[in-house]
Amino acid sequence: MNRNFVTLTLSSLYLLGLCTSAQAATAPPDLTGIWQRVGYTAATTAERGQTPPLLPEAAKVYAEHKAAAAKGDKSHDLATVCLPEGIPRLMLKAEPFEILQRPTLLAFVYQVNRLPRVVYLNEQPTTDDSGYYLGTSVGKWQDDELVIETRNFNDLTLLDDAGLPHSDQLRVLERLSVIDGGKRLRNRITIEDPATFRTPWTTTVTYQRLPGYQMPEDVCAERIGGSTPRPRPAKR
Amino acid sequence: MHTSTRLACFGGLAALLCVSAVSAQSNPRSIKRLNDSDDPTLALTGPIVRVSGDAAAGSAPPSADPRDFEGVWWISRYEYLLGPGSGVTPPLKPEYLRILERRIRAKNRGTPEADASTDCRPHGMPRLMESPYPIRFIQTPGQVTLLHEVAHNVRRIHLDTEHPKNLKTSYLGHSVGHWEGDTLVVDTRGLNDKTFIDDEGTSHSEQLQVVERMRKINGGKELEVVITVTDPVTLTEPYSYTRTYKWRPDVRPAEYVCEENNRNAPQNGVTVAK
Repeated sequence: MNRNFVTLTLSSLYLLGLCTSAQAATAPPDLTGIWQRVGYTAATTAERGQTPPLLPEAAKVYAEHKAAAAKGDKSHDLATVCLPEGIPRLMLKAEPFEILQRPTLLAFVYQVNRLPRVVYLNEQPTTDDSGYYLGTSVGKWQDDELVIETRNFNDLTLLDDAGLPHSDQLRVLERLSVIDGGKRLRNRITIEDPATFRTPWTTTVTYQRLPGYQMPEDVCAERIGGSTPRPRPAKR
Repeated sequence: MHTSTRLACFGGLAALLCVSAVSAQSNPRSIKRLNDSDDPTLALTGPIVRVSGDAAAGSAPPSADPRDFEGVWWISRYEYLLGPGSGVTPPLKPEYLRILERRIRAKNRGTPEADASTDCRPHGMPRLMESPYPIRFIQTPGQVTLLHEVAHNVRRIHLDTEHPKNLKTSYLGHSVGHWEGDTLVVDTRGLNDKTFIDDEGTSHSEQLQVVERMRKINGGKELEVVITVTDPVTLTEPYSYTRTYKWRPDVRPAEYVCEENNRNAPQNGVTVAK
């Protein structure tokens, strides 16, 4: 597989949306509210339950993470010391999140350690490549589908709760659409990372609305009994 | 801490950095002089460093709708001590004044007492609103949400509703709001007593109540917030003060990860900056 071609493909999907969706005439659905994943599983699989197409070295790292976790060692998971879960992991977790939808942006506020993520609408992806835990997200309504592209990640997070690794070349494309008359939200997540996967791959998750849910104040440092001084972790 | 290069003089480290320039005070009544001998405020007028997305942020004028607070606001200046006037000590009962004086002495020695925020827990109220970092206001039906850059604090103001009965305490408490004309009146209760009211280390109890009256002024270029602090346990009487926040459409709050390389993490109850 030509990696450059793959890289172009994901961005092209987003940019194509940027060009065409101005034609959308009707108001997009309102996603504002609190949502929770239905049918949570820790390990993420590609469509039809297939194992993600990991390159050999990444497959080895993933196997090491799972073996360590089975022995109770989750030191590879920096979320255990309160560093932010990244994207897409925050969209794959069991804990609820809130969406605040506005004309120029959507904010996702995750219950987990109160992490916020703002998706700016109708913008080109920023050229900033500083490397963030949650990356930087831009989005666009394509008819009734919200397309979000996220990039500019560091490599300190995991893709999911099971320890799926990634590099700082990660890009994530999410396509969110309401189903079941607005009661549920479907997210088709495409993951591209030429340093980790042979090809881009897609997984689909579904969320249900939690009407009336009062988001508790989740404070990670309190959960783990206090933060401790520690150096910035070395890159993988 | 990964917080771009914003002014980082807030919280326990601020105590060390900001107070280190102040000569040691031996007189316990020196609370006012602590600030008099130093500029008690930090004017946030310096150049703003572009962070993620800032370059794409615009220069949009503020909305003409007086009830539209949406966007990014940044406090005009911030003070260590939150009292009824600049550098004026809150009307504390004697036992709580002694605690404040002890904490100021500890800061002057370079060993400030730790509070929740030095351990990456929420800053509490009203201290969070004094943070010298930008705040994004988002208004959705029935709710005003404040996304603070500092330490990814989130406040939800629930409109036209009551506090729940049997309210459990939390770091930022429970906020309800309603409009009185063009002023958003916010009432916050249910605050735990693990936080300091301000950077100086003023105590409060779980009976703390914070009322904020927020309105746009100066053609919408500023947000004025009149804050009233009530605490029958620690204060002899309620007190009020006013803050203004500037309209900053050119700024986007950055990813702020307190938990990364937290140099302020307390040891034995003392904040030791490394």
